[in-house]
Amino acid sequence: MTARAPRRLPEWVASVASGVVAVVVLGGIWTYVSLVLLGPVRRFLLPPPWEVVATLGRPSVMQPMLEALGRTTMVSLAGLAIAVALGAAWAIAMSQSRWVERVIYPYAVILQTVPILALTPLIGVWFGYGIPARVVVAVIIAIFPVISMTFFGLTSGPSPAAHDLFTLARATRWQRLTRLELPAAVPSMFTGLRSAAGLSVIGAIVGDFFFQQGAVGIGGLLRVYTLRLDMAVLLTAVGLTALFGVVVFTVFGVAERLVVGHFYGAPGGGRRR
Amino acid sequence: MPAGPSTPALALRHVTKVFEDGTRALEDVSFTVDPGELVSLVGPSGCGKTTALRIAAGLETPTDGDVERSAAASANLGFVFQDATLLEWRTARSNVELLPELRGVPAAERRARAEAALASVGLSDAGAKRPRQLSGGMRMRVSIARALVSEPELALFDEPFGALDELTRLSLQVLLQDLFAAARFAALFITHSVAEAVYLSDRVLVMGPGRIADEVVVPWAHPRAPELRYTAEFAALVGEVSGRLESAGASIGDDPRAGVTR
Repeated sequence: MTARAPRRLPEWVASVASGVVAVVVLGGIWTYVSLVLLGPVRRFLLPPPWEVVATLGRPSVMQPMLEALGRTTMVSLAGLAIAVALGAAWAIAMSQSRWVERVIYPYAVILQTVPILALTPLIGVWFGYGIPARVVVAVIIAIFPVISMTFFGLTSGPSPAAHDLFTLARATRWQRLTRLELPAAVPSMFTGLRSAAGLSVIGAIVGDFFFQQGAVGIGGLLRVYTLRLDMAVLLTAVGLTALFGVVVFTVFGVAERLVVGHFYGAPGGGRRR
Repeated sequence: MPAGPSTPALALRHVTKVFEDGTRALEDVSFTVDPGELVSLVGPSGCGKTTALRIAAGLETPTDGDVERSAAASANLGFVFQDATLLEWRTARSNVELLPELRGVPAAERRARAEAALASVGLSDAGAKRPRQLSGGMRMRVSIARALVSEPELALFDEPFGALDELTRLSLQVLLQDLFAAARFAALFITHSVAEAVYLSDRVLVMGPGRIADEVVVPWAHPRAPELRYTAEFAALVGEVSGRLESAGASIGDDPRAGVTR
């Protein structure tokens, strides 16, 4: 008699089912809090899910919200692009000289650790209170993972034997950088890029929140909705921003999987559990 | 300038190597490798073989003594590492093209050279594959092709077959023997396999901890048939080298800091 392994659900079915269960449980708790715990007087603090969902069908709400989200997206992408260019250059400079590393690495750490709130007055004075300042906030928040992961990839990516190979070939520093260190760093750079992408969204929203001159971004709208105590719309905006963050994170995750998976095999290309 | 018969392609003279932590890896080591000669360094793990090879390559500087390479050998040196050390993002052909590329050889020429080198190691059809798509033996073949693509005057091999299964190892020994017989470059080959050293080499240098303890001349001319490895004469010579190796290595462990492989 042959023993049969117990049949298991396909992975995608299990994944969808667990997602549905999570939504149902969360919706149930939300409804209970809104209808039972808060009562009619305080229900405005957390309107029931269907009231929030209903705002999606109101063009007067959704149109400005989507336009603001579009602006925030542009700020976020601009911040990400600058963070990647600046962060990669920063990391390359550090990787080429211990002296440069000692001099400029502390500033990368400071950028990571200083509360953005403390920098906002300076940013406002230097860059104004409009869109450029929002981009600067996005850059400051997103740049550290680019610096740290690129630097890690440049210094730890190539094996000692690969460096020996280039030494034996009398490779110039430029050849070593462009043909060995940078290609070897690509998987790490993508990991940093994925984190930076998510952080640039946060940075752009934080920038919207603090710097409201010019066209409003989604962060600015969040502030407006909060002041109006329009919780249904506020929750819709929060949900939309979260979705936006997930989309950005996912897009860069897929890009990582495609690029790193194709050229390097393993981690990015075939993550398995 | 090509090296004349009296000018060795590689000479280590009274080389001593003491690492910064005080480890004495080599003690007064001297040997030569003539043009067209394949010399093996055989010895137990940790006796300093790899250090000697790295010094020969110029990757380490000796604490004392001299290293001389002929001008041609210095200008055109091939190196095969223990691990194939292929660049994962490049195809097999692109890996083989690397050294000509770094030397500024035009694209068409280096491509032709790389294809010829891949053909010489039996991988004509694998040029477009990436390293992760190749077996361990194929990766090592690519590594050998990369080392020989520029027709080096001197090739250095750092236990290249040590991590391969026995069958692959035997087939790569035959391949390397054929390549050597055809091109007759000078070569220094590191191994801890006595049979491999005897099959491939013109001379076998037996290493004890940090020093050359003995030298055995292998009498057979190149090319050598694979069947040579199954003859009584071959077995006798392997036995003799093994005996000398055992004698040379008897003191291993007397000085725990001696001959640590780097």
